[in-house]
Amino acid sequence: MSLQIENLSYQYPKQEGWALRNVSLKVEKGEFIVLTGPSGCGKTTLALVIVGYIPHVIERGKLRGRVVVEGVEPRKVELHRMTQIVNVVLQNPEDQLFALTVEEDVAFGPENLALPKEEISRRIKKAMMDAGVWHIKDREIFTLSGGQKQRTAIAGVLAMEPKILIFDEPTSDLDPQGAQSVLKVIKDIQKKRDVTVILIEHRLDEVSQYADRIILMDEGRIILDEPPEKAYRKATEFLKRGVRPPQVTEVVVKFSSELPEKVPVTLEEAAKYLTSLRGKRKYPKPLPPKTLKTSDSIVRFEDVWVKYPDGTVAVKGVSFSVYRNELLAIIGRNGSGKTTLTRLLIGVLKPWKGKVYVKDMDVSKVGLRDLVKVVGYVFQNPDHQLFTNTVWDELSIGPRAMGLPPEEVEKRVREVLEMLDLVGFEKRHPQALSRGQKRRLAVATVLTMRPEILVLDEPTTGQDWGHVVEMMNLVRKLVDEWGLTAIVITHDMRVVAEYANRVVLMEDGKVLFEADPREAFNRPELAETSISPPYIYRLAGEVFTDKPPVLTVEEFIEGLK
Amino acid sequence: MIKFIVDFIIFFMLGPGILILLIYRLILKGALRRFFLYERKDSFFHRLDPRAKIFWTFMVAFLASILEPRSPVGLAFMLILLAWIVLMWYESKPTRDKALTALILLIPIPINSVFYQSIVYGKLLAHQGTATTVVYTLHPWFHWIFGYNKITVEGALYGLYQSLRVLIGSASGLLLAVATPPNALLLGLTSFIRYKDKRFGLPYILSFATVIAIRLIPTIFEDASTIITAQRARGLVLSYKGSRFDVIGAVKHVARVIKYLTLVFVPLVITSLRRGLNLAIAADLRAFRAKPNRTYLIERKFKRSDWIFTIITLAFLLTGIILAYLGLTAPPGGVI
Repeated sequence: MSLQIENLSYQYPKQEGWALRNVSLKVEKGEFIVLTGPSGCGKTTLALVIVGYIPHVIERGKLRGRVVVEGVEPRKVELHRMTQIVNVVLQNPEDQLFALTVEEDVAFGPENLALPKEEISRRIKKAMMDAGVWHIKDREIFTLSGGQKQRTAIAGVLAMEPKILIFDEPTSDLDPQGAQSVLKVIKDIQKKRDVTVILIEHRLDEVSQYADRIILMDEGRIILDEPPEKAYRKATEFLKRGVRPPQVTEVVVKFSSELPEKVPVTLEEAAKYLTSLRGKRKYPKPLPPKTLKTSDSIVRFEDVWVKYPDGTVAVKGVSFSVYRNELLAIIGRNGSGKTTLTRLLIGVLKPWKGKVYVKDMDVSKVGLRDLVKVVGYVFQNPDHQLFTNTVWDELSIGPRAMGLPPEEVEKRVREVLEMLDLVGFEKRHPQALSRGQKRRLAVATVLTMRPEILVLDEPTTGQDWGHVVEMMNLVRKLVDEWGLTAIVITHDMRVVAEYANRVVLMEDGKVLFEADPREAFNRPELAETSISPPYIYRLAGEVFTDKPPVLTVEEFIEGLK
Repeated sequence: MIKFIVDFIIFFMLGPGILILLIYRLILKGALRRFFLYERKDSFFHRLDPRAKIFWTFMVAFLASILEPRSPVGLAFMLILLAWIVLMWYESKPTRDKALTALILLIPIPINSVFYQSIVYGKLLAHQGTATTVVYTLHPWFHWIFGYNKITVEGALYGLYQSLRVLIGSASGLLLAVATPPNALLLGLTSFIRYKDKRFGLPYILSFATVIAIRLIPTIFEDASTIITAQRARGLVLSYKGSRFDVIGAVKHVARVIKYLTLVFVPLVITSLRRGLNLAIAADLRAFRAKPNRTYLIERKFKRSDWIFTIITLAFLLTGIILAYLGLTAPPGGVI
């Protein structure tokens, strides 16, 4: 037995309600567990209890029940001993790296343990090889990509040589390329080392196939704990908690009136199952393009180049238009120039060469004040854009800076509060809101400026599906009902498939293509940038003979009927 | 009244205002972030053992505080120190960007000091009954506020001399931070002197905190830059578009600028605290503070060049102390 938890409950100091309630769990040696649940369900707290950070560092909470890890009770031995038995890779790589170079950082743990130098050298070499960072061991960490940084963090934890590895949403902050490389390392680790893996994750499409068991948590409780092919029979249990089972499983569960004993989890299994049920068939009707029938452009980029003061050229000759009232998705790996390009629209950056027109205004010639009346920009992290002490101030500071009369400001604030379901929170501190509310507030703050164009920089990164849907439905509503034009930078291809009218793919400062989502996922450039189409699209290619560009689970089921 | 406002704007708002704006620009352009990112360079100063560098920085700062720049000997000695620092800066081959940022950070030191001492020290001299040369008299209300309202040459000179101390200390400290890899600095601080298994230096926790703080500076400036951009995206813009002669409008604008700047701090503190919390968890998970004597995988040996540099540093330190002890660097006339 690797891990045994009996009736574990935990309450944080000075907080109401229990973060963990009566959790019981057994994990055998060498198992691969996927632990999932909506944000705030207690996954991270459970990890911190298992490693003993609670109660060794976070003291004075109420801890009940029993935890035994590899034969020891975490609360009874010193934390540094526990860290050699079980260790955790955290979500954000930036927050867990300490040194200048990869090698120095990986050595940090073993050095703290005062191991002999030869032992440290042996450990860190093996750890760096297993995590795929050996070839970059002398690089400065700040020059690495997100995926490389996260793999460095993994190497740092491996160097502690724990028997149980917990990964706490290790790919949430990464782009598709980085996420893929990190998942590969996690997947291979069991082959290379004799370890138990607990992967905390809410994007289940990719990881379910590796899992021996899926554990679903909500409100501090374990809701179910079964092998994936059994667990997903209860797909509604996941969906109603804002956690999305793999799309291929979702199709089977939603389509079949009678579920098989073991539901398919991988693409191949699902394809086999559905073909056996329905036979290979053609998709019954043509799928209409998602692109709007309009040529009324609201933003035009004409051979745009952007150069930063340090000499980096981040955008290299980009030309395309954004059409009025569409929802345009910009995809591409981190550092490909997506954010730089969109920041031109609010005038905080100026093009080095070329022209950018926003509603026929040349951004090089008009000031920021004129641009922000037309373009609302929502940043990735809500904490960076909420400055004031009340929700009301937060919403009114923009219109006031525009010089609007107080009655008008009040009118707009009330309207937006209503629209985004924030009535009653006017006097609350923005930082006291929940995560979802904070993100809504961030959108609300730009809406009071009455923009015609809304730019959202990774509005769904790191969130569970429930929050993704909430945010994207809001954006869709603003486009459909308020007539806004939305530009969404995203790494989530499910979002692109389900919400976008058009897609622009960027790579190395250039636009590789602009296309309808139905066409985009078939383009060869996608694979070159390590982006995979959503599983549902790939499954359609296996099940239907004419490889229809199916974008949603509903469309897929439509075709099976 | 108008003279009061004009004086106030020229002497009390223009200087700090320009400084705040410059720093604001530096943050926005990412220059401050880049300044504190360690860059690998092959220079004498970069190659120097961190302990030699720490000792040198300490020597420079110590001498700057005990020597008196108003005596010819003291001044000469301090100018030599300053020249040495400039030489080291030059030799460490900073990029244009870094050199410019360093200048923008350092130049306000003498300017501020000259200006404030011209009033404050002038007041002290006047109280002592020493004759002063007055170049400008501020509006009488300032006398009511500060107890003095004259700008004096003697005070300005005093300010210039005194600023030399701060300037020397800051310039060498900045160089140490910029040209020493964080891990080397950590090692230098914790094992300043090593004898067999014994290490003498700052406690590890303290050194680690120092080094992490330095490492976090670029991230914090990056956050600040994003926050300012987010403010600008909401139309909170610092540029002033009113008429040049609209005094009330200008004052209102300055008030607004100050308000916007204070608004940067709330999100900055929150994001930094959150980051600090996560770093603390990550450090504990890597057995931080586990053992009283940790291992250092890479240790450095004092090389010949390190010894020579340190001996020269030591010679300077001793000379300076002797000069100060002999009273050779006392201020002329024994004025405080």
